[in-house]
Amino acid sequence: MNQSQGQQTSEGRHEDDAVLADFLASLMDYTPTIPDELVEHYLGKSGFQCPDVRLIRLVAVATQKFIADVATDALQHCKARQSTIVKDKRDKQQKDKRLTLTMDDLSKSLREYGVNVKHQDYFADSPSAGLDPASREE
Amino acid sequence: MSSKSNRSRPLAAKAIPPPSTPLSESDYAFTITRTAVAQICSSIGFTAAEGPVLGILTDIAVRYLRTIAKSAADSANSASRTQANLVDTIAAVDELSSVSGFPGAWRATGCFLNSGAVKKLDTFTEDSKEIPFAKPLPRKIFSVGSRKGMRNVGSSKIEYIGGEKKHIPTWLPVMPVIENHEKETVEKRRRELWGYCAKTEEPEREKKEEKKTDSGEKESKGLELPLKRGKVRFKIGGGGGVLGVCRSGGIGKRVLCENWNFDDENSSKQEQL
Repeated sequence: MNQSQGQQTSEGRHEDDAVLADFLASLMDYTPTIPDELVEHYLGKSGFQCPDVRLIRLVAVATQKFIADVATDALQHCKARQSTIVKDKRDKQQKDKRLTLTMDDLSKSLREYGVNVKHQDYFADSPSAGLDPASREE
Repeated sequence: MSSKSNRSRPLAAKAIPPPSTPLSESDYAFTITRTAVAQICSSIGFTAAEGPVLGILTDIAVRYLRTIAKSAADSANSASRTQANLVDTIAAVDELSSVSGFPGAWRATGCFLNSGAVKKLDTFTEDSKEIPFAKPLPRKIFSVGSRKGMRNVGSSKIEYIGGEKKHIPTWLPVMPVIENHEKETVEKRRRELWGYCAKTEEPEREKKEEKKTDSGEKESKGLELPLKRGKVRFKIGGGGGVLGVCRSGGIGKRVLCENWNFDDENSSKQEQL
């Protein structure tokens, strides 16, 4: 029994190794959105030294997946928020049906990943902000 | 917050560096990351993003990258290695994805090579559409650890990549380039000249070296002795009455001697007046 179990586990390991090897080989053809040079730069800054491109791309894919997951969650929040608006208001906002990444959605989605982001109630992103209250009321 | 819609702009127009700050290397890297993050958001389905929000997401992406790198480098270093390998990287990825969870994370003693996080990455690469970066970047534009005055420029870069200095790890800062090319060639010529006709050029050389106050230049051992004797001669001749100053030695001594002479001259002038 023990021998058969051992054989099964060794076969399973071989399969896992094959899957991993295939994945690493596929990374040679896959081009992540985050460029290799940029990842190398940040990895080098943190003391990660490896000449293998596949590992660099693995890190790039991991980061890309994380950002994509966060953005997908934020998109779901955005869509949910837009669908819950009262019908009267919805008619007004028909024009502005664009899906915009906002701080509310991002902070909600990031909270699930253990990142607490709180945005300021008032953020003057330009020198003219707050000078003209009439335009803000619009 | 009705002004949000006014502030939202197209994703492509977001790669603007913050105003009134010099565009350093890190800013450049951050701007590129910002563009990449904007591309990812656009591929997910967003049509626009607020500027500060995109900045926060970019910052998180950079932190994520650096955390993976630091974790992998730490585990490599703890195993007495300088180069991180696959196991270190997968362990780092596992560690960071344990917040959201992945299949097989419950196994405390599981092998890293069949990690569920990596399998999720595999499915991600298969399912997601491949979006390359907007513009191809030139290779090795970032020199790791470069600072002002230590940036690796020109042909010496080739030495570090595959030339004479390829044994030096890339994460080490580049050796500072102090001498320019012209100075090197001039020195080389001079050495060649003195190497072949040292006897004939020696008196001239002594005169030249006496004028120089810079002690940083190192010459061959056989030619150093007359230089030092020359200085001693100067000590005895210049400040005969001021032994204490002469004993202290160094460059400042000459100044002192000159000052003494200057005072003497002044006193003599006063006497004349």
